[in-house]
Amino acid sequence: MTATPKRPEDPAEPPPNPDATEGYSPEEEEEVQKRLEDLGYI
Amino acid sequence: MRHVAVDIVTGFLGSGKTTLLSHVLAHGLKGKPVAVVMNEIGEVGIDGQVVTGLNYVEKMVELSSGCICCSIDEYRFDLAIQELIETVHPHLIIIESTGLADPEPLTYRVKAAGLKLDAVITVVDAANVERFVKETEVATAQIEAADFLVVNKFDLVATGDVARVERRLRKLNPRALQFRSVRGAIDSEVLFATGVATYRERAREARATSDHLHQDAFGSFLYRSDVELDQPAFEHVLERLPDDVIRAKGIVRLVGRDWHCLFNVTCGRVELGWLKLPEDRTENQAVFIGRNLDRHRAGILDALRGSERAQAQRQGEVR
Repeated sequence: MTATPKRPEDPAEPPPNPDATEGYSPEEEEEVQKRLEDLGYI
Repeated sequence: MRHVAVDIVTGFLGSGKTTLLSHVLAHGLKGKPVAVVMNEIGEVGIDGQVVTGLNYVEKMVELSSGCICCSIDEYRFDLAIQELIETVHPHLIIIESTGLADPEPLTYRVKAAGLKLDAVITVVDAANVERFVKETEVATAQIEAADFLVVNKFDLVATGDVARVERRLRKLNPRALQFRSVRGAIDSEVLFATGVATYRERAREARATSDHLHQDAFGSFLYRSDVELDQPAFEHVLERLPDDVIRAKGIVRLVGRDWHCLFNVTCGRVELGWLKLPEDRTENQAVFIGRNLDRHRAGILDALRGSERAQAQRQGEVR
């Protein structure tokens, strides 16, 4: 017997409250920037 | 922080998935931090031994003794992903499924884990795919789920037969872009998420060298704007991009949203994600990659400007 994962909810709606209301630390911002550049988003 | 893209490499038994992956990893992906999840049904992961040690692989995790789409539970899958993210902070994870996996449940699993699905890459054995499709449902499912179809081993098949195979594949999945390869050697950067950055860079350079785009099989152009976009109008544009647009990717501000929208279109499959960025970052940036873009560029940019105007009109109606 196999279990097929359920289709997740539509991810189009962001959470009502950001989990980082105070923003990223400078190091985290730098990391996010690098990731977005590497993946071609910016 | 899970801003990690996932590319799934799938294909029926013996199609050449690991060979393709080895070739791609050995040739770089531009040195980006890449982690690999290998899934094998047997106890001993043979394919994993092939991939381990390649220059650009930060880490390889094997999920053996079960198929990733059905018999490996969510806990084990999440644990493997979590381990990868925490230990090597990859920007891209490549998951190679077993030859018997249905990629569709795996795509749900990837999204449920909070990761961004970039592309499903299905490798087919040109010499045997027609037989596999007749005899098994999963071979068909793998083809139907693909964003990119790599027709491997085409050198082993007569030219007319390759054309017939490609027509058959197109019938099963008209949306997917097809590539031919021999022993997994494929030189296209459009397949993997990290290749998009290269096209964005080329599009930037194209301002200075007007004929640059004509030199490659694929061209690219940029969209930049400081105006927030109307979400329904923007999604409408993405869903109706011409088939020649292979990929589109970027970050935009949408009206009424506190978070920035990360969007990714791969061969007509549209994904939206959300990211909290500093509020002073107001510029929309996007790159469009594909063929014959000289024909499509003006229309796409007009449609995007229309998304800006749609918002302005709605504001006017409210007033």
